[in-house]
Amino acid sequence: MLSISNLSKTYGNGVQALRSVNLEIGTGMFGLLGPNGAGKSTLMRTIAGLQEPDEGHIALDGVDIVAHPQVVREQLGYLPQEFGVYPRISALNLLDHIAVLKGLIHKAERREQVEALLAQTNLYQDRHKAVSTFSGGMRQRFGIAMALLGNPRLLIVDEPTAGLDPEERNRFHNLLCEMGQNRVVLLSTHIVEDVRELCSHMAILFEGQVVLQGRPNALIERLEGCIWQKSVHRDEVGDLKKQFRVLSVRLSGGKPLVNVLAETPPDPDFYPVPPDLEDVYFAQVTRGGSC
Amino acid sequence: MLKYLISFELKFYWGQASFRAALIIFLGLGLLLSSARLGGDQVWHNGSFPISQLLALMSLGVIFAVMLFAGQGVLRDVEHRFEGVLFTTPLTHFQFLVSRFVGLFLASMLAFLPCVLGMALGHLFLAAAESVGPFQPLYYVRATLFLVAPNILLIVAVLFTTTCLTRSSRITQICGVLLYVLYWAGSVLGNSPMIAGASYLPSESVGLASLIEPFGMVGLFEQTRFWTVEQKNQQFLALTGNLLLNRLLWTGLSLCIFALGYRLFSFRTNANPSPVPKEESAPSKPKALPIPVLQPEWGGLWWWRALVARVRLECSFHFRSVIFVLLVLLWSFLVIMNLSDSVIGELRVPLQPYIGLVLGDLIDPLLKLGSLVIVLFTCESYWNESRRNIEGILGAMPPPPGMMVLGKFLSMLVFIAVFVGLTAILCLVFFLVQQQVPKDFGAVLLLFPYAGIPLVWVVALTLFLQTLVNNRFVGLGLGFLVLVLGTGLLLKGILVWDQPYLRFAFVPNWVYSPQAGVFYAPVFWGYTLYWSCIALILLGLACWDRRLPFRFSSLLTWRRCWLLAPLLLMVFSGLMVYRATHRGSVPINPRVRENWMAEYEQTHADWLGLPAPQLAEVGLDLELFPDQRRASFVIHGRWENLGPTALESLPIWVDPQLALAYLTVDGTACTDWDTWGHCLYPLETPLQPGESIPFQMQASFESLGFRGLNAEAYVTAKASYLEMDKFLPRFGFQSQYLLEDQVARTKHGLPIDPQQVPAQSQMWLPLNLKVTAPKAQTVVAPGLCVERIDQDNRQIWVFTSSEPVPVAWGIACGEYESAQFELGDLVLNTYIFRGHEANLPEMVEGFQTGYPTFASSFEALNLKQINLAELAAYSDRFGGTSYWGLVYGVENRVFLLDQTRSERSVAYRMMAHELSHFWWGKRIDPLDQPGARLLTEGLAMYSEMMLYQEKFGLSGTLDFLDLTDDLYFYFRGYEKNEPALDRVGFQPFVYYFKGAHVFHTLFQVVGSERMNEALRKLLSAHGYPNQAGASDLIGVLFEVAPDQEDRIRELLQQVVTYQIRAENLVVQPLTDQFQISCDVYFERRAENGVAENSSFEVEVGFFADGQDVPYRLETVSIQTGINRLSWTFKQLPNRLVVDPRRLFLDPERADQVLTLD
Repeated sequence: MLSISNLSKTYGNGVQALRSVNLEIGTGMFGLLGPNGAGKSTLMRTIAGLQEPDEGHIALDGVDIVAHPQVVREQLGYLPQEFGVYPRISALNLLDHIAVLKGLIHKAERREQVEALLAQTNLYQDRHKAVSTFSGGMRQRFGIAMALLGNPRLLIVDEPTAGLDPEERNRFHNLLCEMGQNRVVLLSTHIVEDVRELCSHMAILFEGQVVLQGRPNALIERLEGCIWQKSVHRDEVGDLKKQFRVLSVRLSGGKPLVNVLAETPPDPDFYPVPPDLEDVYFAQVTRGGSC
Repeated sequence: MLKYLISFELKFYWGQASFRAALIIFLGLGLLLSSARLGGDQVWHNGSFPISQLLALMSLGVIFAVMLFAGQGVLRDVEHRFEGVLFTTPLTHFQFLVSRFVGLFLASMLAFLPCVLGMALGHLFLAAAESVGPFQPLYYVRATLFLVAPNILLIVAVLFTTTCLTRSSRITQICGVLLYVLYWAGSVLGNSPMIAGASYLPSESVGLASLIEPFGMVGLFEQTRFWTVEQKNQQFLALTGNLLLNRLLWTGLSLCIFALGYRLFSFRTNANPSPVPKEESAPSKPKALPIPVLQPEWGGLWWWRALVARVRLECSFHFRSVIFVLLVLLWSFLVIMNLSDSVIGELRVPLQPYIGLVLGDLIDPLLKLGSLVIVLFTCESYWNESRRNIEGILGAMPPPPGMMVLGKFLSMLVFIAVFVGLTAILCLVFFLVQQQVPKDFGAVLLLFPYAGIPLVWVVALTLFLQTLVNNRFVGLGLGFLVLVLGTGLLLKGILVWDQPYLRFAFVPNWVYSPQAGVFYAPVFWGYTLYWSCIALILLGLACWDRRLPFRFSSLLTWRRCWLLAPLLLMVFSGLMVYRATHRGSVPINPRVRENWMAEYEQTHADWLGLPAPQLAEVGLDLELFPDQRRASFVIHGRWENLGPTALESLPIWVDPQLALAYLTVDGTACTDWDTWGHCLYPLETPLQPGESIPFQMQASFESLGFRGLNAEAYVTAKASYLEMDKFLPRFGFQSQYLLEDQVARTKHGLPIDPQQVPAQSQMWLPLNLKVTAPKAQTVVAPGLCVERIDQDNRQIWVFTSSEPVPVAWGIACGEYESAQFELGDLVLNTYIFRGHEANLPEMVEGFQTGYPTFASSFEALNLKQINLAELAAYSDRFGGTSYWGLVYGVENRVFLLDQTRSERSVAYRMMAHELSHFWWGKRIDPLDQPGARLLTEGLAMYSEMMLYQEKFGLSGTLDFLDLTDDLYFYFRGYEKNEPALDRVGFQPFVYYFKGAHVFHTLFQVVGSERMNEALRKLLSAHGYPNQAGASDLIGVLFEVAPDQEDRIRELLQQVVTYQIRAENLVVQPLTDQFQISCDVYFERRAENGVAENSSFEVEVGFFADGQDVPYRLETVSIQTGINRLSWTFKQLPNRLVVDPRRLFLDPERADQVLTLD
């Protein structure tokens, strides 16, 4: 169990990245949604022990990991949003090296886990190739293999599917789901679909604050009957935004499709649509989450 | 457009903090260097010579700046992933490259200009008025245009092109270091004094070196090496000769390098992308392989294995790169170059294969260049994860940040070990390839501690510095800056607070004796403890996890208090070093010592001329403790008042470097000693004329080396040498504390010319020496050893003389092997270190021939026995020295020369020289006045040349003069008022090098018969107990050779040089013979350097092919200026040489030879 209480962080340039964040995260996959700059990466890095918070506590299974960062490091798998690799080192050797750092000191066992992870991430056939020559997707899978080394209790993945093609993304999701069975997996993303597909619990972080948390389905249910949709002309969008609480404007066949949050139909041409997680998200990051 | 782009570049650089920091740093360096003095004490700070030298040298500092600028400016598109955008704009190849190149060049020039400005401002406003001449802006402008600008162009061209083509800051930085290696190699090739500490540039090696050395330093040395002080102050640097060719060559090459880069550069961001691995459809291992659940293990074993894994990974980055291979190749080249130079010994005779003797020339570049390489690789290693964006992943892993830093530190240790090991292997291979088996194989291992350990400290410092900044370029710049300033590479001795223990990673110079080992070993290990503690603290701070709050109190817990151990050990070792460095009252900092000496003269000037007694009786009881590197002694005797008046007090002086236990006069102790070692002892009863008074002094002397090496007094485990007469108590004002430098004298308000200290004649007294030493060692001293008394494990040696001998006590002690040679009536006893006998036959021959020759030519001496002993290489400030009946030769300057590989017999020559001092220095006791050394060293030069010519003929002499003439012309550039030989003081270049030429000329024009007759007259009239002056020698020479009065006067009483040049050779066939014509340019330069109109008789020799004796020698009368001369021959000679007997002192001799094809 990861418990975060009153976590705040302000950077040297005055940006207040986290404002009194409180979260309780249990075993399984937990999605952290939020727009760019919401503070997701700051929260991830703080949990990973890469930076200190100004205030607040983080406890993993009851141990304060701000005061004892080594505790979390010994149980952590961390895949940051962007990461590089050493040049001229094969995937096998680099994983082996990371495995040693993560406490797998017996060579034969280590080898076994490394090869299994390479197989799980579909990189086994490329294990002797330099990681620096991998494509984006392969590198991302290699990253998750690195994160999974040593069977971490806590897995933090920050925007893991950014830049992956659909096939890679699917493969990645499957792997994450499998990993999330018996550990805490914290998935940070701004891709709403990822959270819906993978996470049993989620939170939305906005301007450094947790504005919503709960089970995705429960959150969606709260908007039942409040989402109205209409296909409009491009020139009408501006007026609609002024008049109603527009959650999103998507294009369908080249024409804008407007979703509005309201208890009643904004006008007769609007028709009700079932809410989805994206509506929940937009409802939060605009002006509050209820009808 | 191009103009806009260039101005954009300049604005970009201006916006960079590093550029503005560079401006400030270069301004600061300029200001600091304005107080540096080059070329001799009398050269102005703002003379043409120091300005040119310093600016040229400082221009190399731009390499660091360009490395930074290239990283930030040229690589900015790569660093910020802007290439794709920029390279798809309409910007042309030409506009992009030219604007970036010109921008970088202008930025680098602009960054350097504050150095020029700072130097000029320092000269104008900071320097003492008496140390600067008239302000001449053109000195700065010329040096900047001729030296700095082409150097910066070259640096920019190389680094810019490398950066553009490789797009790698690391390769750029390596190239920067390689440029330094190139400079070093060029300088070694040219024997540049700025690098190798070489004392002169042999003519034959200058031409090519001045062309190929890329920064014009050797060319600059070539042009200025024979400049006099006036020229150094006021002569404009001329862009002519090899310097011009060098500048043209390297400017052209710079442009070619840029052109090559222009040709190869492509806008494509990755012309040959690495193939992305294709995913195979059928993996060789099933996907569903279950992931085994493993429990990580933490603890000591994990810590160790993780650390080893980190070190292995870091090492793979260091060693698996093309850059490393390139570095190894260039380093190998440099090492071989250095070794080729350092195996040359005295008068360019090769040394015997002793590794220890050449290690100094490997340790020096390893420490200086190696430090740069280490800073570079350490920075690269430190920022590797950040640069490759891996720090996030690694930071969240179990190993604490300290382990990561420690891994980098240890990998750099491996790197250092590999580099030092490579150097050691190259050194061994160098000797073995030449079929020379080093006699001290094991000495090569000393490279590891002496070069490796200081580099380890640099790693720790660099790692620590990186933790203070958050940008790798700034980190690199900071690393270099702190290295240059903190280690005193640049500012050593300039600041008053400069002390060795404040210079980071200070280690003493390499001083090695194959017999006695490393002199500074105690100092080195003392400093190793001190710096290692500091390095450990720095490393600890670098490893400290900054995310954790630091509380000093946490260190004071029992569990962690061991962390304070380095701090405590540092304080302890620092105190130990401080105490050893400041033992005695003589300051070691040159600036502080100057003040100390000035104060001495101000407070003790009235001691000058105080009446004092003379030594009437003296004895020495010396106890040597070689294992403790210590000696203690008692000097006892009587002082006698030989003056006309009674003495009421005694102005006693005892060397303040001694630990004085007591000094008693007539049983009463002197107690009131001042910082300069003086005590004005009041006598209870005045000492009347003719009366004497007993005295006794006990003191001890330690030679651990923290205060440097005194080549005339050291005690070490296996070899000791003490000139004990220097420790005799003396009286009155001490001339050795007189400030000679006129600028310093003016600064301290002292009269420009120091006062003349009254002459003290040499004392001759019966010898009474008692030396106690370990039984295993042999003691050598002047006089006869009359008794040896065993006392436990020690032995007492008693030396006496039956008649008065000079009071000069050079005492040596060591593990000698002795031998005895019967040379007619004379017995020669030799005391040589084991295995050093190779040159003994030649040395014995020197005595065998020399003693009877000198005795018959000058005067017979009543000597039955002469001793010859070897001194450790610690004394190599001199080659040999002599006492009454005793000659010392220094290990590496005589005994370890490989005479089998040279026709120059230095061993023979040096023995002749030292032997002749029995006459010139002992029998002739010169008056202590200017010109005294003409009678000692000058006449010893004559004696050795006489003997040498007898054995090796004129060609042997001319070969020797090739070296001494070069040395003379080089060193005279450091002396503003060069005295003639009859007024010479302590100017070795005059009495040794010019003396060689002068006495050769006298030997040729006066003839040996008449010369020796004159010397016999001198001995007869002025031999001990009388004294002689230079004028007495000149007088007897006039007597025996009245026909050569003008020449004698010119040679001994004037400073005259010549320029003689043969050119425009024309061979015209006549009926049955040939007419040879040529122009001979003749110019005589007198003391003031102005050419004089005169005519002279000059010889022209004609030589057959392969002959070194002319078959036809003509004497022609020529005038100042160009003289057209012609001769007819039946058969053409092979070459024509003007002045073949070398009777005129001319710096350039190659142009006196015309070869007929």
